[in-house]
Amino acid sequence: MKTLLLIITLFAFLQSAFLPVNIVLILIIARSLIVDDRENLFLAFFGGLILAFLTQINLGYYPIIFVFLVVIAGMLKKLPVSFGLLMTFLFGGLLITLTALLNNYFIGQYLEFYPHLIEAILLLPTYFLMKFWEERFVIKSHTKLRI
Amino acid sequence: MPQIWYIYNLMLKFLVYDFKTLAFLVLISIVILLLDFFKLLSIPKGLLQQVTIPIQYGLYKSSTGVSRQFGFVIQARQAAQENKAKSEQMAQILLENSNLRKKLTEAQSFLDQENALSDETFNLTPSRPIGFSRFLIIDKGANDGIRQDQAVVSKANFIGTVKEVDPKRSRVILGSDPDSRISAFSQSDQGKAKGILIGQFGSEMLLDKILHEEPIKVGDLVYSEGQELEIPRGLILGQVAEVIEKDNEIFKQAKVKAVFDIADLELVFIVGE
Repeated sequence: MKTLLLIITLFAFLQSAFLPVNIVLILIIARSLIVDDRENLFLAFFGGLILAFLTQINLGYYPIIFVFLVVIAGMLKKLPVSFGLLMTFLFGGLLITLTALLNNYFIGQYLEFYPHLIEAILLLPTYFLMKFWEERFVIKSHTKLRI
Repeated sequence: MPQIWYIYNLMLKFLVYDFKTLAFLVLISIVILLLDFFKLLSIPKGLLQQVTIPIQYGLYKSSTGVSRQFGFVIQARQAAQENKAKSEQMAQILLENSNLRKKLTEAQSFLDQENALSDETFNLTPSRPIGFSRFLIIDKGANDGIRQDQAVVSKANFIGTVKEVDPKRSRVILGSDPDSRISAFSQSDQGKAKGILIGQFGSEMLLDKILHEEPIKVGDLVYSEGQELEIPRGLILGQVAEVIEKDNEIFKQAKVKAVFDIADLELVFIVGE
Protein backbone atom coordinates (compact mmCIF):
# COMPACT_ATOMS: atom_id res chain seq x y z
CA MET A 1 0.00 0.00 0.00
CA LYS A 2 2.72 2.44 1.03
CA THR A 3 4.86 1.49 -1.93
CA LEU A 4 1.95 1.94 -4.27
CA LEU A 5 1.10 5.29 -2.73
CA LEU A 6 4.69 6.41 -3.28
CA ILE A 7 4.62 5.17 -6.87
CA ILE A 8 1.30 6.89 -7.50
CA THR A 9 2.67 10.13 -6.04
CA LEU A 10 5.72 9.89 -8.27
CA PHE A 11 3.55 9.12 -11.29
CA ALA A 12 1.30 12.08 -10.48
CA PHE A 13 4.32 14.37 -10.38
CA LEU A 14 5.63 13.00 -13.67
CA GLN A 15 2.22 13.26 -15.28
CA SER A 16 1.64 16.80 -14.11
CA ALA A 17 5.14 17.86 -15.22
CA PHE A 18 5.39 16.52 -18.73
CA LEU A 19 3.75 13.17 -19.50
CA PRO A 20 0.77 13.37 -21.88
CA VAL A 21 -0.75 10.05 -20.69
CA ASN A 22 -2.65 9.39 -17.47
CA ILE A 23 -0.31 6.89 -15.79
CA VAL A 24 -1.98 7.23 -12.40
CA LEU A 25 -5.19 6.05 -13.98
CA ILE A 26 -3.38 3.16 -15.67
CA LEU A 27 -1.91 2.03 -12.37
CA ILE A 28 -5.22 2.21 -10.54
CA ILE A 29 -7.10 0.36 -13.29
CA ALA A 30 -4.35 -2.29 -13.51
CA ARG A 31 -4.49 -3.00 -9.80
CA SER A 32 -8.29 -3.01 -9.72
CA LEU A 33 -8.35 -5.63 -12.49
CA ILE A 34 -5.96 -7.85 -10.50
CA VAL A 35 -6.82 -7.45 -6.85
CA ASP A 36 -10.29 -6.98 -5.48
CA ASP A 37 -9.91 -5.29 -2.08
CA ARG A 38 -10.70 -2.05 -0.35
CA GLU A 39 -7.14 -0.78 -0.76
CA ASN A 40 -8.02 -0.02 -4.35
CA LEU A 41 -10.57 2.50 -3.14
CA PHE A 42 -8.03 4.24 -0.92
CA LEU A 43 -5.42 4.22 -3.65
CA ALA A 44 -7.95 5.66 -6.11
CA PHE A 45 -8.97 8.32 -3.62
CA PHE A 46 -5.45 9.42 -2.73
CA GLY A 47 -4.18 9.06 -6.29
CA GLY A 48 -7.07 11.20 -7.53
CA LEU A 49 -6.50 13.75 -4.81
CA ILE A 50 -2.76 14.11 -5.55
CA LEU A 51 -3.34 14.21 -9.30
CA ALA A 52 -6.09 16.79 -9.00
CA PHE A 53 -3.91 18.91 -6.76
CA LEU A 54 -0.88 18.72 -9.04
CA THR A 55 -2.85 19.31 -12.24
CA GLN A 56 -4.77 22.28 -10.81
CA ILE A 57 -8.18 20.64 -11.09
CA ASN A 58 -10.91 20.71 -8.47
CA LEU A 59 -9.59 18.49 -5.70
CA GLY A 60 -12.74 16.41 -5.43
CA TYR A 61 -13.07 15.58 -9.10
CA TYR A 62 -10.47 12.88 -9.67
CA PRO A 63 -11.09 11.09 -6.33
CA ILE A 64 -14.77 10.58 -7.22
CA ILE A 65 -14.00 9.47 -10.78
CA PHE A 66 -11.22 7.10 -9.74
CA VAL A 67 -13.23 5.60 -6.87
CA PHE A 68 -16.11 4.81 -9.18
CA LEU A 69 -13.70 3.44 -11.79
CA VAL A 70 -12.41 1.06 -9.16
CA VAL A 71 -15.97 -0.03 -8.43
CA ILE A 72 -16.61 -0.65 -12.14
CA ALA A 73 -13.28 -2.45 -12.53
CA GLY A 74 -14.17 -4.65 -9.54
CA MET A 75 -17.45 -5.55 -11.19
CA LEU A 76 -15.74 -6.32 -14.48
CA LYS A 77 -13.28 -8.51 -12.66
CA LYS A 78 -16.13 -10.55 -11.25
CA LEU A 79 -17.42 -11.34 -14.74
CA PRO A 80 -16.94 -15.00 -15.65
CA VAL A 81 -14.18 -14.35 -18.22
CA SER A 82 -10.49 -15.06 -18.05
CA PHE A 83 -8.26 -11.98 -17.92
CA GLY A 84 -5.78 -12.49 -20.71
CA LEU A 85 -4.16 -9.85 -22.89
CA LEU A 86 -7.28 -9.21 -24.94
CA MET A 87 -9.76 -8.84 -22.08
CA THR A 88 -7.38 -6.64 -20.10
CA PHE A 89 -6.93 -4.45 -23.14
CA LEU A 90 -10.68 -4.32 -23.82
CA PHE A 91 -11.78 -3.64 -20.25
CA GLY A 92 -8.88 -1.25 -19.66
CA GLY A 93 -9.70 0.53 -22.90
CA LEU A 94 -13.32 0.76 -21.83
CA LEU A 95 -12.43 2.33 -18.49
CA ILE A 96 -9.93 4.71 -20.08
CA THR A 97 -12.51 5.78 -22.67
CA LEU A 98 -15.06 6.31 -19.94
CA THR A 99 -12.63 8.50 -18.01
CA ALA A 100 -11.77 10.44 -21.17
CA LEU A 101 -15.45 11.08 -21.84
CA LEU A 102 -16.03 12.23 -18.27
CA ASN A 103 -12.95 14.46 -18.39
CA ASN A 104 -14.17 15.92 -21.64
CA TYR A 105 -17.59 16.60 -20.19
CA PHE A 106 -16.62 17.91 -16.76
CA ILE A 107 -13.23 19.55 -17.12
CA GLY A 108 -13.21 20.23 -20.86
CA GLN A 109 -10.23 18.00 -21.65
CA TYR A 110 -9.82 17.38 -25.39
CA LEU A 111 -10.67 13.94 -26.68
CA GLU A 112 -7.54 12.68 -28.38
CA PHE A 113 -7.31 9.21 -29.81
CA TYR A 114 -3.59 8.46 -29.65
CA PRO A 115 -2.84 9.34 -26.02
CA HIS A 116 -5.74 7.12 -24.93
CA LEU A 117 -4.61 4.34 -27.23
CA ILE A 118 -1.15 4.59 -25.69
CA GLU A 119 -2.75 4.45 -22.24
CA ALA A 120 -4.64 1.28 -23.22
CA ILE A 121 -1.46 -0.29 -24.58
CA LEU A 122 0.56 0.76 -21.52
CA LEU A 123 -2.06 -0.88 -19.37
CA LEU A 124 -0.94 -4.33 -20.55
CA PRO A 125 2.67 -4.26 -19.25
CA THR A 126 1.47 -2.42 -16.13
CA TYR A 127 -1.13 -5.13 -15.55
CA PHE A 128 1.42 -7.93 -15.77
CA LEU A 129 4.00 -6.07 -13.66
CA MET A 130 1.36 -5.40 -11.05
CA LYS A 131 0.26 -9.00 -11.16
CA PHE A 132 3.85 -10.10 -10.62
CA TRP A 133 4.16 -7.62 -7.73
CA GLU A 134 0.91 -8.58 -6.05
CA GLU A 135 1.48 -12.29 -6.35
CA ARG A 136 5.06 -12.20 -5.14
CA PHE A 137 4.18 -13.85 -1.84
CA VAL A 138 1.59 -16.24 -3.21
CA ILE A 139 2.92 -19.79 -3.11
CA LYS A 140 2.33 -21.63 -6.34
CA SER A 141 1.10 -25.19 -6.19
CA HIS A 142 4.09 -26.46 -8.14
CA THR A 143 6.61 -24.72 -5.84
CA LYS A 144 8.12 -27.23 -3.47
CA LEU A 145 10.91 -27.04 -0.97
CA ARG A 146 13.92 -29.14 -1.89
CA ILE A 147 15.26 -31.13 1.02
CA MET B 1 -32.72 -11.28 -18.28
CA PRO B 2 -30.63 -13.74 -16.24
CA GLN B 3 -27.47 -11.81 -17.27
CA ILE B 4 -28.89 -8.54 -15.97
CA TRP B 5 -29.83 -10.26 -12.75
CA TYR B 6 -26.30 -11.64 -12.49
CA ILE B 7 -24.70 -8.22 -12.99
CA TYR B 8 -27.12 -6.69 -10.49
CA ASN B 9 -26.10 -9.28 -7.92
CA LEU B 10 -22.46 -8.58 -8.60
CA MET B 11 -22.94 -4.85 -8.13
CA LEU B 12 -24.84 -5.44 -4.96
CA LYS B 13 -22.21 -7.83 -3.68
CA PHE B 14 -19.43 -5.39 -4.33
CA LEU B 15 -21.28 -2.44 -2.92
CA VAL B 16 -22.31 -4.32 0.18
CA TYR B 17 -18.80 -5.67 0.61
CA ASP B 18 -17.16 -2.25 0.65
CA PHE B 19 -20.12 -0.04 0.95
CA LYS B 20 -18.96 1.81 4.04
CA THR B 21 -15.53 2.59 2.62
CA LEU B 22 -16.99 3.58 -0.71
CA ALA B 23 -19.62 5.80 0.83
CA PHE B 24 -17.06 7.38 3.14
CA LEU B 25 -14.61 8.15 0.35
CA VAL B 26 -17.31 9.45 -1.98
CA LEU B 27 -18.66 11.63 0.77
CA ILE B 28 -15.22 13.04 1.53
CA SER B 29 -14.62 13.60 -2.15
CA ILE B 30 -17.86 15.50 -2.49
CA VAL B 31 -17.03 17.61 0.56
CA ILE B 32 -13.57 18.37 -0.87
CA LEU B 33 -15.11 19.12 -4.24
CA LEU B 34 -17.51 21.61 -2.70
CA LEU B 35 -14.88 23.17 -0.48
CA ASP B 36 -12.55 23.61 -3.41
CA PHE B 37 -15.38 24.87 -5.57
CA PHE B 38 -16.04 27.64 -3.07
CA LYS B 39 -12.28 28.37 -2.74
CA LEU B 40 -12.15 27.33 0.86
CA LEU B 41 -9.05 25.22 0.35
CA SER B 42 -6.92 27.98 -1.10
CA ILE B 43 -4.71 28.39 1.95
CA PRO B 44 -3.70 24.73 2.42
CA LYS B 45 -3.36 24.36 -1.35
CA GLY B 46 -1.13 27.42 -1.50
CA LEU B 47 1.05 26.06 1.30
CA LEU B 48 1.39 22.68 -0.37
CA GLN B 49 2.15 24.26 -3.69
CA GLN B 50 5.17 25.95 -2.12
CA VAL B 51 6.61 22.45 -1.90
CA THR B 52 5.27 20.83 -5.03
CA ILE B 53 5.79 23.57 -7.60
CA PRO B 54 9.63 23.49 -7.38
CA ILE B 55 9.55 19.70 -7.79
CA GLN B 56 7.22 19.97 -10.77
CA TYR B 57 9.37 22.73 -12.25
CA GLY B 58 12.51 20.61 -11.80
CA LEU B 59 10.85 17.64 -13.45
CA TYR B 60 9.58 19.81 -16.26
CA LYS B 61 13.03 21.32 -16.89
CA SER B 62 14.65 17.89 -16.78
CA SER B 63 12.11 16.52 -19.24
CA THR B 64 12.68 19.50 -21.52
CA GLY B 65 16.42 18.90 -21.42
CA VAL B 66 16.03 15.20 -22.12
CA SER B 67 13.53 15.77 -24.92
CA ARG B 68 15.88 18.39 -26.38
CA GLN B 69 18.67 15.83 -26.43
CA PHE B 70 16.42 13.28 -28.08
CA GLY B 71 15.13 16.01 -30.36
CA PHE B 72 18.70 16.77 -31.36
CA VAL B 73 19.24 13.13 -32.33
CA ILE B 74 16.00 13.14 -34.33
CA GLN B 75 16.87 16.47 -35.92
CA ALA B 76 20.35 15.20 -36.79
CA ARG B 77 18.78 12.16 -38.40
CA GLN B 78 16.32 14.33 -40.31
CA ALA B 79 19.13 16.67 -41.33
CA ALA B 80 21.16 13.70 -42.59
CA GLN B 81 18.18 12.47 -44.61
CA GLU B 82 17.53 15.95 -45.98
CA ASN B 83 21.21 16.33 -46.77
CA LYS B 84 21.17 13.07 -48.70
CA ALA B 85 18.04 14.11 -50.58
CA LYS B 86 19.57 17.51 -51.34
CA SER B 87 22.78 15.89 -52.55
CA GLU B 88 20.73 13.78 -54.93
CA GLN B 89 18.79 16.85 -56.06
CA MET B 90 22.05 18.75 -56.44
CA ALA B 91 23.49 15.94 -58.56
CA GLN B 92 20.35 16.02 -60.67
CA ILE B 93 20.54 19.80 -61.02
CA LEU B 94 24.23 19.61 -61.91
CA LEU B 95 23.43 17.01 -64.55
CA GLU B 96 20.66 19.20 -65.96
CA ASN B 97 22.95 22.21 -65.80
CA SER B 98 25.65 20.27 -67.61
CA ASN B 99 23.19 19.21 -70.31
CA LEU B 100 21.94 22.77 -70.67
CA ARG B 101 25.48 24.11 -70.91
CA LYS B 102 26.27 21.49 -73.49
CA LYS B 103 23.20 22.47 -75.49
CA LEU B 104 24.09 26.14 -75.11
CA THR B 105 27.61 25.49 -76.31
CA GLU B 106 26.27 23.53 -79.24
CA ALA B 107 23.80 26.29 -80.06
CA GLN B 108 26.65 28.79 -79.83
CA SER B 109 28.73 26.55 -82.11
CA PHE B 110 25.88 26.46 -84.62
CA LEU B 111 25.66 30.22 -84.52
CA ASP B 112 29.40 30.69 -84.89
CA GLN B 113 29.47 28.19 -87.71
CA GLU B 114 26.61 29.98 -89.38
CA ASN B 115 28.55 33.24 -89.16
CA ALA B 116 31.76 31.62 -90.39
CA LEU B 117 30.51 29.38 -93.16
CA SER B 118 26.98 29.88 -94.29
CA ASP B 119 25.02 26.66 -94.65
CA GLU B 120 23.46 28.20 -97.70
CA THR B 121 26.85 27.81 -99.37
CA PHE B 122 28.04 24.68 -97.63
CA ASN B 123 26.00 21.68 -96.70
CA LEU B 124 27.12 21.26 -93.09
CA THR B 125 26.42 18.22 -90.94
CA PRO B 126 26.93 18.78 -87.19
CA SER B 127 28.69 16.09 -85.23
CA ARG B 128 30.05 15.60 -81.73
CA PRO B 129 33.62 14.46 -81.10
CA ILE B 130 33.44 11.25 -79.05
CA GLY B 131 37.09 10.32 -78.84
CA PHE B 132 40.55 11.38 -79.77
CA SER B 133 43.78 9.46 -80.14
CA ARG B 134 45.66 9.79 -83.39
CA PHE B 135 42.38 10.34 -85.19
CA LEU B 136 39.41 12.34 -84.05
CA ILE B 137 36.35 10.10 -83.72
CA ILE B 138 32.98 11.70 -84.41
CA ASP B 139 29.46 10.39 -83.82
CA LYS B 140 28.26 10.53 -87.39
CA GLY B 141 28.88 7.84 -89.96
CA ALA B 142 27.73 6.31 -93.20
CA ASN B 143 24.14 6.12 -91.90
CA ASP B 144 24.17 9.92 -91.70
CA GLY B 145 25.51 10.32 -95.20
CA ILE B 146 29.14 10.84 -94.28
CA ARG B 147 31.68 9.82 -96.89
CA GLN B 148 35.43 9.43 -96.98
CA ASP B 149 37.61 12.54 -97.61
CA GLN B 150 34.94 15.03 -96.57
CA ALA B 151 36.36 18.06 -94.78
CA VAL B 152 35.62 18.59 -91.10
CA VAL B 153 35.53 22.16 -89.85
CA SER B 154 34.81 24.21 -86.78
CA LYS B 155 33.76 27.76 -87.59
CA ALA B 156 36.19 28.65 -90.35
CA ASN B 157 38.95 26.41 -89.04
CA PHE B 158 39.94 23.28 -90.85
CA ILE B 159 40.15 20.28 -88.54
CA GLY B 160 40.77 17.40 -90.87
CA THR B 161 39.30 15.06 -93.42
CA VAL B 162 37.23 11.95 -92.91
CA LYS B 163 39.56 8.98 -93.12
CA GLU B 164 37.36 6.00 -92.31
CA VAL B 165 33.60 5.72 -92.14
CA ASP B 166 31.67 3.25 -90.02
CA PRO B 167 27.87 3.09 -90.03
CA LYS B 168 27.52 5.27 -86.95
CA ARG B 169 30.87 6.96 -86.49
CA SER B 170 33.84 8.20 -88.46
CA ARG B 171 37.54 8.79 -87.99
CA VAL B 172 38.94 12.14 -88.95
CA ILE B 173 42.58 12.56 -89.88
CA LEU B 174 43.72 15.89 -88.49
CA GLY B 175 45.66 18.50 -90.36
CA SER B 176 48.58 17.92 -87.99
CA ASP B 177 48.74 14.20 -88.76
CA PRO B 178 51.98 13.17 -90.58
CA ASP B 179 49.87 11.58 -93.35
CA SER B 180 48.03 14.85 -94.02
CA ARG B 181 49.02 16.99 -97.00
CA ILE B 182 47.03 20.04 -98.02
CA SER B 183 47.82 22.77 -100.49
CA ALA B 184 47.83 26.03 -98.56
CA PHE B 185 48.82 29.65 -98.63
CA SER B 186 49.67 32.22 -96.04
CA GLN B 187 48.27 35.70 -96.26
CA SER B 188 50.05 38.80 -95.05
CA ASP B 189 49.81 42.49 -95.80
CA GLN B 190 52.74 42.04 -98.19
CA GLY B 191 51.14 39.28 -100.20
CA LYS B 192 50.60 35.54 -100.33
CA ALA B 193 52.99 32.62 -99.94
CA LYS B 194 51.88 29.29 -101.35
CA GLY B 195 53.03 25.90 -100.18
CA ILE B 196 52.04 22.45 -99.05
CA LEU B 197 51.00 21.99 -95.46
CA ILE B 198 52.37 18.75 -94.10
CA GLY B 199 51.44 17.36 -90.71
CA GLN B 200 54.19 16.71 -88.19
CA PHE B 201 54.29 14.56 -85.13
CA GLY B 202 52.58 16.50 -82.41
CA SER B 203 50.39 19.50 -82.95
CA GLU B 204 52.67 21.29 -85.40
CA MET B 205 52.49 21.42 -89.17
CA LEU B 206 55.04 22.42 -91.72
CA LEU B 207 54.28 24.69 -94.67
CA ASP B 208 56.78 23.48 -97.24
CA LYS B 209 57.70 24.38 -100.81
CA ILE B 210 57.46 28.15 -100.34
CA LEU B 211 59.38 30.15 -102.87
CA HIS B 212 62.04 32.45 -101.47
CA GLU B 213 60.53 35.52 -103.06
CA GLU B 214 57.11 34.92 -101.54
CA PRO B 215 56.57 36.91 -98.34
CA ILE B 216 55.81 35.05 -95.14
CA LYS B 217 56.34 36.01 -91.53
CA VAL B 218 55.48 34.84 -88.04
CA GLY B 219 51.83 35.44 -87.14
CA ASP B 220 50.46 35.08 -90.68
CA LEU B 221 47.38 32.93 -90.96
CA VAL B 222 47.55 29.91 -93.26
CA TYR B 223 44.51 29.08 -95.38
CA SER B 224 43.46 26.18 -97.56
CA GLU B 225 44.09 26.65 -101.23
CA GLY B 226 41.05 24.67 -102.33
CA GLN B 227 42.87 22.41 -104.77
CA GLU B 228 41.58 19.30 -103.01
CA LEU B 229 38.09 18.54 -104.13
CA GLU B 230 36.56 18.19 -100.71
CA ILE B 231 38.33 21.03 -98.91
CA PRO B 232 36.86 24.48 -99.61
CA ARG B 233 39.22 27.37 -100.23
CA GLY B 234 39.84 29.83 -97.46
CA LEU B 235 39.59 27.60 -94.40
CA ILE B 236 42.04 28.55 -91.67
CA LEU B 237 44.67 25.86 -91.25
CA GLY B 238 46.84 27.52 -88.64
CA GLN B 239 49.18 30.35 -87.86
CA VAL B 240 52.85 30.72 -88.77
CA ALA B 241 54.98 30.16 -85.67
CA GLU B 242 58.44 30.17 -87.25
CA VAL B 243 59.93 30.76 -90.70
CA ILE B 244 62.81 28.45 -91.70
CA GLU B 245 64.84 30.01 -94.49
CA LYS B 246 68.15 28.58 -95.76
CA ASP B 247 70.09 30.22 -98.58
CA ASN B 248 71.32 26.96 -100.07
CA GLU B 249 67.83 25.53 -100.50
CA ILE B 250 65.35 26.31 -103.23
CA PHE B 251 62.31 26.55 -100.98
CA LYS B 252 61.75 27.90 -97.56
CA GLN B 253 59.58 26.41 -94.87
CA ALA B 254 57.40 27.67 -92.04
CA LYS B 255 56.25 25.98 -88.86
CA VAL B 256 52.52 26.34 -88.47
CA LYS B 257 50.56 25.90 -85.27
CA ALA B 258 46.85 25.18 -84.99
CA VAL B 259 44.76 28.11 -83.80
CA PHE B 260 42.47 25.97 -81.64
CA ASP B 261 42.78 23.11 -79.20
CA ILE B 262 41.09 20.00 -80.45
CA ALA B 263 40.05 19.09 -76.89
CA ASP B 264 37.96 22.27 -76.62
CA LEU B 265 35.67 21.39 -79.48
CA GLU B 266 32.09 20.62 -78.52
CA LEU B 267 30.74 20.38 -82.02
CA VAL B 268 32.33 20.01 -85.45
CA PHE B 269 30.77 20.23 -88.88
CA ILE B 270 31.30 17.98 -91.84
CA VAL B 271 31.30 19.85 -95.11
CA GLY B 272 29.08 18.13 -97.65
CA GLU B 273 28.46 18.83 -101.26
